[in-house]
Amino acid sequence: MKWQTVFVLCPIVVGLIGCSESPFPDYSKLEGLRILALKVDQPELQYNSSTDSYSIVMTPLLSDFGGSGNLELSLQGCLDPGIVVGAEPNCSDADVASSLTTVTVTPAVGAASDIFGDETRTGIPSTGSIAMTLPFPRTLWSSFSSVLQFNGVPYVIVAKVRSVDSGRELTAFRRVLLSNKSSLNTNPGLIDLKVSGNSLVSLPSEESLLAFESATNPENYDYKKSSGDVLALTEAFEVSWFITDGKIKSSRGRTGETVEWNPPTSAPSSGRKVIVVAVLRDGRGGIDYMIRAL
Amino acid sequence: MDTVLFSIKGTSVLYIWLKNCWYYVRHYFLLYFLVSLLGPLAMALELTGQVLEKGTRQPLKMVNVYLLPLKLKAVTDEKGRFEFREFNLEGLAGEIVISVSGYKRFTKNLSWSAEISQLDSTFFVERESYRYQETTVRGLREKKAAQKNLSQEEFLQMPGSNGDPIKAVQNLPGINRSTGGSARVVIQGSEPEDTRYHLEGHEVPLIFHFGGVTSLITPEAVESVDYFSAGHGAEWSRAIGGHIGLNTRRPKTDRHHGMAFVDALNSGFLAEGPIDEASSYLISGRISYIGEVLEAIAKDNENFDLVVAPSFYDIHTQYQKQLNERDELRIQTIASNDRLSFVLAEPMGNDPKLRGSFNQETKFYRIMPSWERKIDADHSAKVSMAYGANDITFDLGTNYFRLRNNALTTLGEYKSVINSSWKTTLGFDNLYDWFDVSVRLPVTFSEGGIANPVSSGEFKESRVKGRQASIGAFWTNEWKPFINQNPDSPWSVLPQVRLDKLGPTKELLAQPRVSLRYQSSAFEQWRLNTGLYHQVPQPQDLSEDFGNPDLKSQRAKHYAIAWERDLREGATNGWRLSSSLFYKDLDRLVVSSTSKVTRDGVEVFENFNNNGLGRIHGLETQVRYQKEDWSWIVNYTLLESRRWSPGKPVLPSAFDQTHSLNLLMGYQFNEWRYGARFRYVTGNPYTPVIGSQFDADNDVYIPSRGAVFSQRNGDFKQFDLRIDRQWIYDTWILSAYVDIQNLTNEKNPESLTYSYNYAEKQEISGIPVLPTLGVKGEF
Repeated sequence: MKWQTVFVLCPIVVGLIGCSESPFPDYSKLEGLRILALKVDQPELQYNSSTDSYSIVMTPLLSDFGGSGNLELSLQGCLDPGIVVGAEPNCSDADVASSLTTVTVTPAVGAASDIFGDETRTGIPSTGSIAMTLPFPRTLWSSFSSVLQFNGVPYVIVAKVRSVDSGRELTAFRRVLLSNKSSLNTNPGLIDLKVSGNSLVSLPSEESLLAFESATNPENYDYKKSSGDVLALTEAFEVSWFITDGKIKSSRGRTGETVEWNPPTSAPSSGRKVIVVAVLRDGRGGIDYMIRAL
Repeated sequence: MDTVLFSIKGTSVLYIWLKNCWYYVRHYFLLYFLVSLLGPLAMALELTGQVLEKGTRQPLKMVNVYLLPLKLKAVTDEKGRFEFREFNLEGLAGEIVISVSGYKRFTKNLSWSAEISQLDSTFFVERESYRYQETTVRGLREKKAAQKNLSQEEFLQMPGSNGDPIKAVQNLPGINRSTGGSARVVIQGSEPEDTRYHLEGHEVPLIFHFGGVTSLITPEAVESVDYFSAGHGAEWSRAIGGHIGLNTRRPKTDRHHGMAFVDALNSGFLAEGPIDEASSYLISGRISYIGEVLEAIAKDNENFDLVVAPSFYDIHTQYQKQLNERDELRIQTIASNDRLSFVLAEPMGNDPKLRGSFNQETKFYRIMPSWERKIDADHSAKVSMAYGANDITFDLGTNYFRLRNNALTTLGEYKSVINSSWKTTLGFDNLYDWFDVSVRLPVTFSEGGIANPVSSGEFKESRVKGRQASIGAFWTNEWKPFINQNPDSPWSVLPQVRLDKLGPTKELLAQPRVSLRYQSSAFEQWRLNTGLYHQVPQPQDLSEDFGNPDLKSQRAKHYAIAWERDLREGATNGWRLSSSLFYKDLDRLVVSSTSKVTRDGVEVFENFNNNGLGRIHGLETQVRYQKEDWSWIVNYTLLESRRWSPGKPVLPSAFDQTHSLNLLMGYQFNEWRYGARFRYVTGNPYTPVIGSQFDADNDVYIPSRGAVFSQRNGDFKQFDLRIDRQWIYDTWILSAYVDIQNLTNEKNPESLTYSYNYAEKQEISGIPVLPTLGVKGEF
């Protein structure tokens, strides 16, 4: 990042704050095709000098609110092509690139899961979780610095979702770290969504405060600086809120924070349910999510 | 009267003497009585006085003062004093008349009385015009290669610049229009980082206060501002774009002066005067209250908590002492502070990490002693030093960037006239830097003016302490090759060379430069300038953690041909024309790279390399016309600026502004002055965003960029108006002004803002109609 960019950031921010209401759609409003999360069972893997591949299970969280037809999901994997230094997040020219899997997602309208309603197409694909194998030749390991080996060599999984009916396509990516740390990162766990202090199980009648309850505390972890010194850090949980109806004041909140939600005064006339989704991230690739249909 | 008092012999002599005495006493008493009666008509009178300019109290020397009806004349001395002694006036009344070119005729009736035969008065003579924009007839030879210059009188009243020297420079041809709120000056299509800023020749970290509101020093303390562009001389270095320099003026020594002003953004003062016969002082300072304005704006926004309102202050002092006829000592200090803090309760847009407490502070100080010796008519020497510290802090939630460094810069030059055909200057300029940088930030990619969200960056933390030095020496010459054959030879050759040892890149570089000058007359000149220029990459680009420590300096070759013609030929009114063509060939530019390289035995991302190339060429033209109270200036720049990497398309650079036109007008009418500015500038290029990818780890969207700077904002048009009014009192001057920027409320597109997934966009316009009021008093 250019320092000049940083130094002029504040005046810009001040300028933006002084501006009127944003003309753009709310981040938290579920409309059209979106990828909300790419959860894997192990966000960080232990390097193993006796193997050239690693197995993980991914659970993507997709939404096609108002759409129709099936969705195609294809996954590719590769070593990080340098996204933070400007590379496009794709595996076409990257090292150890492989096509991981392609699946068809059938939004299960009216399925047993309470996340689906007549027009609500938000949820995990009908195939459920996707098992895949990430190739990582052992010979590559020594080419990375000891700092990167400790902090984690990023392996990128690129997900492309295409709506068969509309032809619209989205791309998302996530990283899985391969490290030699003894204590690996794990996913956080959501156990409940709260509204004004109570469990969110029905549509509130008035403006309410949304909050999340996690089963786990933020983890402590070590980060190695380029000098070799190790820094003790703690994760910061942050939840992203998504809704199909009403208006939410802030799309994100941290541990202990609440966000204001102005729910619809009545359930949608079509009979579908109002969906609230919370995606919890630990800031290091660990993800969990929870969906409530009200 | 034959009275006999004594009859003795000899007594008759005494008698005669007494008789005569009585006769004289009697007659002189009568005479005295008569003179006493006529006294008021024939008393010896005296008038002394001082003639000062009204408002400024400037003594007017060598001015004829007439006393009527006697038609006596006196001439004022250096302090404006005069005297009339031993004169008689019928009726003890007279009239004093002072008539001097450029001033209103001054008359005043005076009267004496029997009790008051001596008068001592001060007479304040009003100038015909307190013209703000004085015409300075500057000999063409005085200018250095590729130098443009604005005097204090010029920049103080230039419309649209709010009396600021650097903002006024931005009106000149070759200076790009900066985007709203930018605190940097862009020269001839270069990048903002390619400009260096100087105060009295010493590099300073910033030239503008917060958001480009105003320049570093109280404008009234600035003597002139210099701008060096393509083909500049070897005295200046380490920038491939150009240089902007502020030159402070020496304190006034005639008496004590003061100035204070208040306007919508800040207030300030200046005081100066003599300390003794050889030394003088100047002190100036400003403090802003722009924060209070922003506080009012943000008052109703519960998500925005302004902890410390944006504010700045600066203070500048100067002590000047003439040590003897040859030596002069000046000691200057400057301190500057810009600060802003606020808390964002909610994250900003598509960037969850943009929340929490923000704190930005830039402060620095310098102590600058300088010594100048005029050895003799042909030799002079000057040495100066600046020592100080920079302290730059940026906190963003738990992330931060903190730079503390002590800087020592030294400058020196020795000028010598070897003979009638050869002048030479030897000089040096050094920069020593002891730095301590602490960084804890996400490394975020930015290209083509589009930055990835901060939340998508890779977290890095490092601390670097060290020191570095850049040492430079230069040798400039002015040689008149044909002067032996023709004393009036119009040709001059100015060969120059510069040697730089650049610490950050560990390079030793020789940079030859040469100018060829053809002076066809005292009022017409042609110049050809060319040279080689180097610039050290930005510190973060050289960082092992954030950049590439193996980067080398960026390089440029400049070529410029310039023509100047002063059609006034010594007169005040008339035309002045100047034009130049320039070409800059850039290579070894720092560009981002996603390639991998092996460093210290391991594979790492290169981040940046020196593979960038560039080309800038253009035409600059200035036409000035002055007639009595009217002045017109037309500045026009035609420019093409391109940058590219090998094998990639040649594309416009960020400041490729094809046409830039500035029309400036000034009109003086008695105490009123009207100034207007119209600007037309081709819209800045921008990089289109053609899509985005969702970063599922960080819950943000990464933009996909189209061809870099391949599209343009709409053209920029703005009309500014300034009206000044002065009230001249005997001992001080009150001024008030109203400066209206963007009078027609033109909606000029400055940049684009995007929706969270970059699927929608909206233009952000520049400033709306913006009136500013100000009042200034000075004595």
